[in-house]
Amino acid sequence: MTLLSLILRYATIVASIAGLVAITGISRLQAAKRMPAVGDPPLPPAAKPWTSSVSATGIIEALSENIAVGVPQAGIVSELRVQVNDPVKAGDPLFRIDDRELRAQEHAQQARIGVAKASVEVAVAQLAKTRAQLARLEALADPRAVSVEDLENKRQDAALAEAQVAAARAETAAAESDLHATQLLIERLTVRAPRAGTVIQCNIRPGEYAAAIAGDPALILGDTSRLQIRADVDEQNATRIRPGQRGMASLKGDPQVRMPLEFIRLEPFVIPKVSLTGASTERVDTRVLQVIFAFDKPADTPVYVGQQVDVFIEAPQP
Amino acid sequence: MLRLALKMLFGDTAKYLMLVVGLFFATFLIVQQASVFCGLMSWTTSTLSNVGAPIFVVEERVEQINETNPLRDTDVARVRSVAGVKWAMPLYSGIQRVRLDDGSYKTVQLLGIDSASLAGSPGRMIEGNIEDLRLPNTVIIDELAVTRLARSPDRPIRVGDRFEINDIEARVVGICDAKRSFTGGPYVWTTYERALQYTPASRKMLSAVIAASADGLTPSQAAVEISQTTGLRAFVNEGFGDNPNDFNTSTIWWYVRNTGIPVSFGTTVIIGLIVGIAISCQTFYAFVLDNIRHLGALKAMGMSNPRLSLILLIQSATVGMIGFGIGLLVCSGFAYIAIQNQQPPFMMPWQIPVAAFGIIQTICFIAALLGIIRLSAYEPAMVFRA
Amino acid sequence: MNEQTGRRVVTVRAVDKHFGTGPTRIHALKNVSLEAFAGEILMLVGPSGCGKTTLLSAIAGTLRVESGEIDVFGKPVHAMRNADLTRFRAAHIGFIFQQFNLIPTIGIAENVAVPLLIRGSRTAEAVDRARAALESVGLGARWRERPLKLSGGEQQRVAIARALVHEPPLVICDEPTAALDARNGEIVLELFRNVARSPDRAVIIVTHDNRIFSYADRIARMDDGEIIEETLQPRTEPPHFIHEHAHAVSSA
Repeated sequence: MTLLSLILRYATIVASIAGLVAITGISRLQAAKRMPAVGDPPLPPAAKPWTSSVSATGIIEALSENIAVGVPQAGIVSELRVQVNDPVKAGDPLFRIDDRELRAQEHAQQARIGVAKASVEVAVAQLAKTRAQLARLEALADPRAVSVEDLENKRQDAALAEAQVAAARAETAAAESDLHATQLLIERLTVRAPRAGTVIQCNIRPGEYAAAIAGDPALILGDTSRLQIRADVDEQNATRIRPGQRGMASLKGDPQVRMPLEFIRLEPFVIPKVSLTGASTERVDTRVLQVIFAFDKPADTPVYVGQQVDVFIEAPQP
Repeated sequence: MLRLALKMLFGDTAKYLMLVVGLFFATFLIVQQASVFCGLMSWTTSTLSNVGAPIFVVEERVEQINETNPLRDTDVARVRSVAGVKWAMPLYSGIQRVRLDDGSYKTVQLLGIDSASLAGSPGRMIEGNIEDLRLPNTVIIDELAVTRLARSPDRPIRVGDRFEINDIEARVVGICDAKRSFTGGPYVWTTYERALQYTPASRKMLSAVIAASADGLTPSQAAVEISQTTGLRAFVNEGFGDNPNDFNTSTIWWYVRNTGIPVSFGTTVIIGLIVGIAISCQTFYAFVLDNIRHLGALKAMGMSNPRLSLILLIQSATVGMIGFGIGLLVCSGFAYIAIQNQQPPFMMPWQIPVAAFGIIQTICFIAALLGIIRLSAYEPAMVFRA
Repeated sequence: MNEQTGRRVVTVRAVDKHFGTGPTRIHALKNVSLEAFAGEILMLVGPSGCGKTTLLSAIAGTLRVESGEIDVFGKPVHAMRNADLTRFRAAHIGFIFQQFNLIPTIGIAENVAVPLLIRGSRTAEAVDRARAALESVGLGARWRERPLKLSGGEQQRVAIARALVHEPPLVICDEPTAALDARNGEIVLELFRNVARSPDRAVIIVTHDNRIFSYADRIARMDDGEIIEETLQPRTEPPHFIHEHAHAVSSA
């Protein structure tokens, strides 16, 4: 009994001290398991170039602005003369919509010109014949040999023949004009570059049906020698934007590439933000002020039209 | 005197054990339940720990991280425009369903982070490379997901395995260490853009903007500036404390106010307290009564009341210390298992054992006080009554 | 009053004490006066409930009386504050109780050391002195044992050692033989008389055990709260008998 109480007494004391030691161990274990302290992200984001600035998301586009070349008339693409990245001069043909229907019409109209020209010749021959008869009658100066009435009839015949010639000629001109109109329509189906630039996107291929829908361009032409940035500034920050402010852009995905921006203009029209996040169904009622900046392409990093950039615009605090 | 007090205490093995067991039980209940409660509450802020950004910017009326009102995409730029902000990045956080190969569904906590900077990526990778998150259709999962999303118990998920989030393929490129979520679902990291693809479309998808303060500013100062400039609510992420602008504090208080969790745990702690008080006071009082003749004799022999009180106080404090220590020992065992398994929740800030010590010693003090009151009512002349 | 003993150490003058209230009120001490002298053993005897223990408690300073004066070693016990009374008891009085009142959970040497500890001695020194005191009652070899391992007579011997260890000038005994059989009672009292009686010390014993009356120097008989008779007895033993007798008892 006494031994047991002795054992119990010391066992409880030892257990108690062990408990104090163990709990400090638990504290330490707990601290070791704690998540590491808050720090900077693995790839540090672009540092702000100015203490007071407005941030915006931007997109790179060609300096001339991108020309979305449309289709004059819906139809099958029969010929594509250019590829993406091809430089084009003003007036260079880009692609052709199937024109066989118009060409068939052209053939028929050419035949009709032939017919019309033949009828002119018939009329001219008729007129010559009538004129010869009239001349003969007028040469017989004897009024008894030719009645006044006959003579008068012949004269009218000659005038009729003359009118018939004029009509046939007019017919010919009309047929020729029809042909010319058809040829113009054929010409129109060959789309030409409105100005010099580079093909930066091509949405059509020969054999495809090209629809004439606004906002769905067949080709995009742009001047990629100099690019510009279109920055979307949230309307709540719009009041801080003034013409002439400097900007700094960095490529999304590579914040180390920094490009100084030169103000070109702002578009004094606040528009709904175009989604750049990739989700097609986004319907956000955000409106943005667009500011256009020019920049020089960085020497060692390629940049492309359509790339997203983070833009800082130096602007005073509101 | 000390020896005398302790010998009297240890001499009565049965009562001594009873006292120790009662106090051990009270200590264990108080420390264990309070720690489980703290652990559970800390789980509510797991997203804050796992994302680990110094500042969280959310919609004006948001109070807690697990229930955010979405922001507009341009709000990232607005936060970034604030002078006191070093950087600001979008964050998607939401619960999504994962379909496993066998057709079953599991919920996960999906986090979408900025793909360029990877701000908000896991703090500690176990396997794989964070940068692989930029590859198409890739995710990083936490350790819990390794077993939770496994096809079978003996075939855990490995790097390179695939599963589907809302019918879109997700390829595992990394496994990380993360704190458990309150909802029990594992954490899955992906890029912000991909998170939006995984998630059924809704009008606004941005859960929060995470940000850091500019050099020379504290996160608190930057948060105040963000709130004033943008009208959004900016919280700092420094850990639970008395700062109402700390997201941890705000989230935990939200759960305290809006759920029955504190009541439930509080009840158990109070039961522990009552059990402790009942057993200890009752036993100690019985111990005093048992010894009242001897204590009375001591009083008659000229021991003063303060010294007799001191004896009782030494005895009760000693029992308290030993019961408390044993309670901590058993708690440590529980804690070790809980911490290794990450389940059940367990978090023991130093205040819990300190407070438990105070409570236990108070219980002992009350018990001693009862004995002291009884003893001071005991006339020394009563020793002469047989 | 008593020529064979030394100076007067206890003077009780006209003390009154009641217990209870209303119809159950008992007049425990009725105008009692008593004296005790150094060097003598005074026995208070009488039937149960005659007030002898009440009187003893009052002299020991553990009970307050309503009127009258109690003077111990020139100190007015009846008028002292509680704290002073406690200190006074620790310094001047040795106690022997009917039920021994040894603390069962500590060894007998430590039990004996308690009065010294109360007076503030260091533990080691107190235990040394306690062992010497145990030696004087013949239990020196068993100092490590717990009280409950001992027989009743041995326990009372431990109590005697405890009462005398700090060499108090007044020893108070309450029914020292009541819990013992006749033989043990006599042995214990024999021993007690030999170790306790000294020219500087007064001993007051309350008892109703008439077998031990012979150990008294003076007997005060009480009944119904009054002292009805005081008798002086001749000394039977010389003081130097002490040690030989102690050895005889311990080897018995």
